Amino acid sequence: MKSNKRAKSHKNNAGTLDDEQVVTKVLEGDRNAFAVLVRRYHKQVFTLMNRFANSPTDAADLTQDAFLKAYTRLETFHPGKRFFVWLYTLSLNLARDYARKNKKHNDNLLKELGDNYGEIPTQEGRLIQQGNTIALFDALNRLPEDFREALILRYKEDFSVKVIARILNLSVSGVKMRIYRGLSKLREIYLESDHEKDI
Amino acid sequence: MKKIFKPFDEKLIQEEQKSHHVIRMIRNVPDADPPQGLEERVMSSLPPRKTVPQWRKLYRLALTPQTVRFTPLKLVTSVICCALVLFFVTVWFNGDNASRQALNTADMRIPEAHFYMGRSLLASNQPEKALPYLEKAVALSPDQADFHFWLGVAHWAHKDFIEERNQYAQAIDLEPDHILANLYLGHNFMDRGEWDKALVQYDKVLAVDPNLPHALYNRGLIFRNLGKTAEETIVWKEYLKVNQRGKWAVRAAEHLNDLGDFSYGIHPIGPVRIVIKRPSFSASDTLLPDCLSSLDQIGYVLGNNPNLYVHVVVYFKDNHKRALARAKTIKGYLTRKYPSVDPARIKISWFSCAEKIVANDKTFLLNESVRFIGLTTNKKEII
Repeated sequence: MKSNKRAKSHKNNAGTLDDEQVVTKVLEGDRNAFAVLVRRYHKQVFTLMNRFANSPTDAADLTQDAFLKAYTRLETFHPGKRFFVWLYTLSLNLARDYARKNKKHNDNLLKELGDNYGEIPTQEGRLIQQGNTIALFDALNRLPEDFREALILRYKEDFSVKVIARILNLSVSGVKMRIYRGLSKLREIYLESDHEKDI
Repeated sequence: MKKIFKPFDEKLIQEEQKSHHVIRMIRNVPDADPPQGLEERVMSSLPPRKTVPQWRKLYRLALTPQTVRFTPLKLVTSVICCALVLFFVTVWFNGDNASRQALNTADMRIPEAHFYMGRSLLASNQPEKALPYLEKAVALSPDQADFHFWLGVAHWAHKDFIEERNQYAQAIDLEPDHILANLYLGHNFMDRGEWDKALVQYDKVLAVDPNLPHALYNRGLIFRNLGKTAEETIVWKEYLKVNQRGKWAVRAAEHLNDLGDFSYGIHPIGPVRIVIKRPSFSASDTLLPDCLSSLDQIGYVLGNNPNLYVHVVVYFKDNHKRALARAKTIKGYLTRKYPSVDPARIKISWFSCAEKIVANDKTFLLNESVRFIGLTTNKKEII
């Protein structure tokens, strides 16, 4: 739920500008206003890139490319649409291009997990949860890219099926099919890895 | 209410229920931590922005959804305001000019404002709405002759002829030489058949402006009604001397011809009928100056209508040569004075039969006559 609110027209409590107002300011020539959008969304874009690149260095380069592309093509962003959806679509296309060129989908995503994990109150809980999450990452990583992105967009980013359809350039029923098959495959892989008992 | 799902949606929901633990874990997957300084790196890679053209800004503004927030109080106030605006706009566009103007001038103490409002309403053929404004103007400024005169006109439009007369009389009291008030008072008397009073008024008008066509024409009608043919003949000639154009000139010439005076003739020239003073000649068949202005009408029409040609038909009893000479004289005058008119468009004829005029149920044969018959090559102009 948190992501949904975040992804929608962003307006923080400090009364700063929402995404659309920032875009307008940038289009009026205020280059520095774009920093607001970078600050808001660079983490999500970096995470996306990292999923495809499996390398923080490459992911950082791709994130930079994504924001540069968004900046130069900002005129094509339609007011009234969600900026994050537009940015995400653009970033996903870049990530896919990168994946096609490199074709080295290695499975060392797990390496990143130890450092990026959130706070857990007890040491025991931390170990259990970390173990499960690593197993899930492993399963996610083994999923075909199309299924994985559909699941992440739906359950992590909390996008509606309609929005996901726009991002992935699919029909609504096509997205539902991917989510359905993605879930069942993920569950299958996860069970294979014998972690269900830990949940 | 039971929710209806499509079969596939149902399967998806079942799958989500089965995978709830997996879904929960996907939700908890943390974002990767970007390397330090990524924001600054991104920003430093951005080039400076070019200025966006104005049309692009307007385009974006048109596409941007706008949000309006209302408290209930503001909403009610807005609805009331909208209803009021709608009411006034409806009143405005329904042509209720009086209401509109009443709003504008209700408390005004400027007589001219009421006067011009009344005049404009009269001009737009709304005398019943004009009347109160003109009355107000007179009430505010009773020493203005024009105000009384136009109030009289409004009463005439209202068919209140007594009040009309009173207002004209008041205007004349204030300004004895008020031409229009005197003229319209004459019309008022004439409409009531008070010929003598009308004549007095028209004489007063003509004393100020001797060539005023309305006064001249109506004097002719009055003498016609009084059966004073000698005076009537003089008046029609006076009228035609100053005005030979238009339908009233044709009517005047007809009245004159009815009296057996053919000094002015009506000639069909293309699509119109023109009144022309009959050309008069000296003993040597040269044109006398008093008819030249009439002939100029023929030259003027020929110069303006290239499709027109004119037959000059001359008769001189028992003398063809003089008829031919007179025809040539007229053609010569016109071709000299109007060199742009091709002489071939002026054709001459000298007939051996007299011109026959039927007037007032009597037939007259003229011993000497000149007729002009204009024909056009443009079929649209043929009447």
